[in-house]
Amino acid sequence: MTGESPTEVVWPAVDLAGASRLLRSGQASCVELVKAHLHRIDRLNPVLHACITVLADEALDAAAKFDAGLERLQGSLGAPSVAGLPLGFKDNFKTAGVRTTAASRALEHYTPEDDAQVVRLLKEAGAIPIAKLNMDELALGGPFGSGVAGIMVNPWDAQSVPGGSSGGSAIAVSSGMVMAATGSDTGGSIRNPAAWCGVVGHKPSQAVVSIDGIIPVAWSLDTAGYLAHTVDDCILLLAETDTRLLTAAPERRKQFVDSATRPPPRTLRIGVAKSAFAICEEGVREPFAQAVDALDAIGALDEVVLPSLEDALLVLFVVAHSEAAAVWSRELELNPTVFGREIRAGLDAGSIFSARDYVDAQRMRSALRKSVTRLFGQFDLIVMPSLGSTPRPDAFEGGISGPMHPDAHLGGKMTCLWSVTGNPVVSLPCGFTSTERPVSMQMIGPAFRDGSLLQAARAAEAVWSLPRERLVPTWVAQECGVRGPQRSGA
Amino acid sequence: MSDSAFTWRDLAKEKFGEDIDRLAAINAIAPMMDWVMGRLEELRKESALNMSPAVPLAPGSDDEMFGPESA
Repeated sequence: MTGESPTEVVWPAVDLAGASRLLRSGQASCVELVKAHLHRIDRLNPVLHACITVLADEALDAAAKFDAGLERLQGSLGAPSVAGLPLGFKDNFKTAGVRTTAASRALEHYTPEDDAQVVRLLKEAGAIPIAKLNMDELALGGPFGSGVAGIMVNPWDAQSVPGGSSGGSAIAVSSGMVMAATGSDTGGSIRNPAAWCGVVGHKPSQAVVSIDGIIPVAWSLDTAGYLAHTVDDCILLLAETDTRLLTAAPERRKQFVDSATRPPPRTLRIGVAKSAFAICEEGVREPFAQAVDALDAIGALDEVVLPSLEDALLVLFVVAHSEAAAVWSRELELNPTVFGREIRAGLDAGSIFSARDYVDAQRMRSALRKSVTRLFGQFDLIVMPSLGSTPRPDAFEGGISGPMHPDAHLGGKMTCLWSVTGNPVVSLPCGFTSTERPVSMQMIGPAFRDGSLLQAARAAEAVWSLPRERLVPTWVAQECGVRGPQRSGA
Repeated sequence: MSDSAFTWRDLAKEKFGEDIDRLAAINAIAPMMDWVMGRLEELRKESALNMSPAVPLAPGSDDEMFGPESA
């Protein structure tokens, strides 16, 4: 690494592509890059509890190989790649030879023989796994888990949880422990913690990224995706793992990246879900309003009337818990106390629903999907809040993506519709509250148009133009020596 | 078992018997359960679901709009 220390050069100012260029040009050492991230894990993880397993020796060995030139030629056609970059994996992604607990005592001693497909693809592309990341128990319980790992702490507010279920992924990215991380999203589990921790969360179209080898919550809803610092990071990660690109010609991956990083080809028709903005907490309405107004630089804004978010929440509740109860039925019967109290309530609820309840919920899901499909005949993009509040200590108690209460508009109700329909979503930081807390917007695209959605999100990111350093919590920045703009909040 | 004959509370009692801890845990989410079961019944009475497919479909399999990536 030349000049400044690795910490200052690489994080938070440089994204995955930038770091890739530094590594491949020899301007930065992979070992130093990995050491900088391990250093932040050492300093911050005892407080934030983002990591369950840290792969220090393995990561340093891989980095040394990269620096020795063994891995330098990896990646396609000289384009930026994830080769040599330290990534984190949510602990429900199976990792060969590495304990995979999903933050549950039910899997406390489970060490898989194989990698999840996403892990395998990223490792084959040269990424360096540096940590397995904490999460809500089995991606369904609340943040207080069953004792496998510590309680996750939001780096923006030590009294609050990070949001779930991919909370460890969001914390680790937000505080620079990893450059990017995988997440899984069944009802909002990527988007919610991404929003509360001020990072980008990308839930691709359902089934675009394989869920093979991810500890399941609900087979018909589970979606794999990413938490990262920028939309470009998400594009790079998707290019390595999009199942549609795996069998395509090698240059197709580069074409995808080139296409997704171009400006949208025309003025976007943007549907603004005004009713969702109206139910947000007062403190976040103003930054949302400003962010929406700014979008007129890239599109024509019009109000969109969404199908019932309440009905989507109902579908999610019945389908997710019914399927999860089937996944864990044997363990639930033989040893129910192995599960934390929060998740056990959800699994027990799932075991009470009848087959008719489940089928009717799936029928309602089909109706919601048809309604949404019609909306995307009128709009290229729909925007609405990721969450209706800033971090709250109580908001994620009790289950999937939000409080288990029908009036829980601050939590899961914002995200559940798009889980039910399978549309791709990017949750993108779009502003700050008066107390300097980040707020995030969901940008939703038509199913399977992930590249177009990422184009639009990238354009919005440029319009909002939030300084990267401002998206690092002040105390984390001070702890890690990050130089950034003057902050007003603590 | 008829849906109308039993409430979810009856089913919980039948399923979890004397396990006070499990009954207490599920009772903690009673407002959500009441709302979900009530809304499902409403939709059935409205025949709102009659025209919808009875099997879960992957996105893209139930309409003509979803196509290959075009970005």
